[in-house]
Amino acid sequence: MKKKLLATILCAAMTATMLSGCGEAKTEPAPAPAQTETKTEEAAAPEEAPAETAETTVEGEIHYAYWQDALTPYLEESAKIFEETYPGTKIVLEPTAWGEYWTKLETAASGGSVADVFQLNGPNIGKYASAGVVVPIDEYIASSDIDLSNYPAALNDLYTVEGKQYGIAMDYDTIGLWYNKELFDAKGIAYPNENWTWDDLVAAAKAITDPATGTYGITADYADQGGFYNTVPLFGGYIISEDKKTSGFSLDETKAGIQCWVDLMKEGYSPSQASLTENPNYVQFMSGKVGMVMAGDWFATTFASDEAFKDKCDVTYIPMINGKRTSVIHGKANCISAATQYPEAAWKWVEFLAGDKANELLGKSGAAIPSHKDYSALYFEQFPQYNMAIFADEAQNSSYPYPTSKTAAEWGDIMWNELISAYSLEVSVSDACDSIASQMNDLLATE
Amino acid sequence: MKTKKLKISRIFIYVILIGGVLIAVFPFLWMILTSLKTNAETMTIPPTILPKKIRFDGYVTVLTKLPFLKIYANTIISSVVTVIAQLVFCAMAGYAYARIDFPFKNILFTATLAVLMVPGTFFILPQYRIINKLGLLNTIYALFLPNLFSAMGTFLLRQFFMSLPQELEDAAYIDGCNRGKAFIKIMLPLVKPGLVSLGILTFRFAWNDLMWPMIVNTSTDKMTLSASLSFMQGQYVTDFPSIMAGALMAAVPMIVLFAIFQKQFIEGVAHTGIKG
Amino acid sequence: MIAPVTLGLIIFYFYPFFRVIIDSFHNIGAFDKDMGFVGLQNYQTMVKDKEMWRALGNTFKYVAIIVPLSLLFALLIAVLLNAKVKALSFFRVVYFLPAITMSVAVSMVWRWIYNGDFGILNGLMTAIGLEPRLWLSDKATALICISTVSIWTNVGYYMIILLAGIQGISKGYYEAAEIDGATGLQKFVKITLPLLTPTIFYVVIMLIISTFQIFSEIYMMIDVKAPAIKFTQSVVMHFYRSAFSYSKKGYASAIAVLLFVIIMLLTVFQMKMQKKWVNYD
Repeated sequence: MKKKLLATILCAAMTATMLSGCGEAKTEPAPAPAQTETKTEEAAAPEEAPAETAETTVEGEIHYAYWQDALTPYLEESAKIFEETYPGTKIVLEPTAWGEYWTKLETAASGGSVADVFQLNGPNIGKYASAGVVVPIDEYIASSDIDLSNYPAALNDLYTVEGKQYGIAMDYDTIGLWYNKELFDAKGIAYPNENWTWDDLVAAAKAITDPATGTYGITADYADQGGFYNTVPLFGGYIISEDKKTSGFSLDETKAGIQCWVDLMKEGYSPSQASLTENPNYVQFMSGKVGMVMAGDWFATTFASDEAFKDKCDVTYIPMINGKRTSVIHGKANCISAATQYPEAAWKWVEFLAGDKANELLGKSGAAIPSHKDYSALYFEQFPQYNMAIFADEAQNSSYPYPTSKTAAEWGDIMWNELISAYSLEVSVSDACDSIASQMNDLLATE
Repeated sequence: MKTKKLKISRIFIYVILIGGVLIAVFPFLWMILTSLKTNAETMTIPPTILPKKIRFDGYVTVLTKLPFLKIYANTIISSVVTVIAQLVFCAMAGYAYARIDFPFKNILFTATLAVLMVPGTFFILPQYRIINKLGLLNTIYALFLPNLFSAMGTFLLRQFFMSLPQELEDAAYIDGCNRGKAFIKIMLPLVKPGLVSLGILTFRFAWNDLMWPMIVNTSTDKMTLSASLSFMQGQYVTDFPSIMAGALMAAVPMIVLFAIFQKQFIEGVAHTGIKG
Repeated sequence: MIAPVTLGLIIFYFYPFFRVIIDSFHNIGAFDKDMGFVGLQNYQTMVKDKEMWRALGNTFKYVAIIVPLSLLFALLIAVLLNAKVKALSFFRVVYFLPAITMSVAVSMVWRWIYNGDFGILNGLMTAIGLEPRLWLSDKATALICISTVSIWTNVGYYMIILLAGIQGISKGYYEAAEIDGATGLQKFVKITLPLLTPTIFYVVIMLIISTFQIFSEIYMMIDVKAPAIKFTQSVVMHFYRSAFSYSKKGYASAIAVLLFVIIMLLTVFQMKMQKKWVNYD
């Protein structure tokens, strides 16, 4: 045991010297076997040697960019443990507001000042991977302990571009129907439940809407992940074909999945698109003027942290349409910049965040559902007052993969641009969809 | 009769002026009040005017979530460096253009004037790439580097130097001053109003600029106040007390500075109009 | 002595100037990748880009609202303050406050005041029995609301400049006019205004140049992806969104060139007009 360890240390030290000696920082991931075994040793005897081993291979200042502020406490704790494990490293957290994240990330990536490790999402992975801004991590994964089957398959697929995997999901999220119990009680209507159909939702929205008090049944503004990405497949439509060559927006089924939202808007059961742009759906929901919001599990922490509001709401499944149930599944992934000076340390950080300890911390922080299947439950336990089990059930039994392609960021903008007028009731859903279909097909042809 | 009419018009003047004061002050008042409320209090319809209990939660959030001292320092350093560099460089160039003959003077001056005509936004994309080539993205240098050189400042100070009588300088030479000494000892003090004006214009610009710092710097601890406020507004959408606390904290240093140097400020601004 | 400025200008201004013009003929996409010379394609896109034309229209609306109203209010207050009011320095300081407050912070407060659900403005509207509005999302009001904020910050600043201009007018003119029995209004129209034209000219130029490049107020009050952006964005905002939100830097360069040409034309036009109405003795 000891001998083997010594050998690995020597081996690792030699690689390190060689690497620094020739001054070429961007070498392929260091020799696999030595690494793996070092890792095994670490796991077996964490007290004994990791610090020494780490010093020789893993060092550098790793900047980590992300957008969700709720993740900060979990990341701070993770960084602390990581730095203790690898004393040569330092993790610098760089949170950015959601509205500015993609702009900043791209500007930084163009300039080579991008963070060493950063979070990507479904719409953007294709763009970053095909531009070579992030590096494939298949070899790293192969030489590590990571078992990809612990993470949702849909998310491994999401972050695989042209056969290469570029990131490991750190969390996953599905969508539920959040409702304000007080407003349902006030109107004497039963709470939404798992047997609800879309018609039940419309009926409840109608009952709760009361122009006199400025109360609305639901928020039905433009939302992809929290909105029509879920209803479109239920009506039998799709956003993008499976071979990623054609847009599904010209299909009547797809249009129906969007029309159902715009109809809620037309009936006046939802605050207007303009109003929901000024104050987003969850803010209006929390102010008590809206009965229902279809939104992701990650709002649990926002709702639960508001003393006055936390006990007023609960969550259930998205209503069924045509007897079917589904929720789109998505998750953020940690990806490594191609420009990082410390690819080894960057990978170690990604590996750490995908590992047991980080997933446990994430679950307990209540900021997001840990992607590792063994730890998801920890997250749900943080919110005993809500029916959080539905999110795990959706992920396992009725999830729908998040639609994406290489140009997803661009057709995402097209979608928004055209549909926002439909949700604002300025143009018909059908016209907007036809326009998206033609622009999107042009784009897909360039992929 | 006449005095009565005079009095009415006097009252009328004061009514307008005080009305104006209310409009000028109200947003500040509202900013302060909001920053002291709880989140729930800000989200009521109709709005609550006074907080039930004064709370500093907003300030706590801002101070714990953002490296505010660092951000203050970045903003102050970048503004002060910009002002000093512009004053020094522009005074030198302005003096040279006003008083010294050298080859290609006209061409160079015309080119400088041409830059004056071009809106600042025009240069941003290539400037960004230059900063990138220099390897200075996401550093404090990136914040001020292109702003150290100003065509406007050069032109403004040239005008001031031109307006000084040549005899003053000649007298200095007779007293045995060389050109450098005459410039520093005699000419510079005489264009002090010009320097103050340029300093204030530049400071105001550097202090307020949003697009440039937002583009070149990404880390929270490399941001200026304006860029970090925009970050805050995006990050704490629902948390109005924190947003207002941040805005207030960003506004205060300039107000304090103004309170201290009130006279110089107002005179400096007034002068820009007279000379420009 | 001109070396530092000249060198700095060459690196950060002259070179970029030509670079932007060259870039405007290139297709520069995501991650700043230059995908080659495309001739006039960016300019053709610009001609067809409805958002671009709307942005240009919006910019002229901003100028048409902000410039005259800022000037008018600044002049009004300057004249009133010149009328030997008590507590002059108090008023001067208070009116100057908005001008020295960080414009980003100012925009944040106003955005909060205008908020469609929880804003105090709607609180006031409801209290006096009027319908609340979505001030910053409503096509009819958004641009005016943003202009108001800009005017609010401008007035104090330009008031100081105008007041200095008024105080610089020799007392002799007024004394002569008083002997002739001129009223206050007559004195203002016949003496103050004509003699103040150089200062007014300066103020108008500064206002037009700064208003033409209006950005931070819009950026802070309207989300880059809000529907309201279409009827509130200025040319500079459209430039920013094209370059950074949609990463079309070649196209953004073409917008920058257009912006430059327009400001150039405006300046030449003003210089020509100046001879007609500005009074230099």
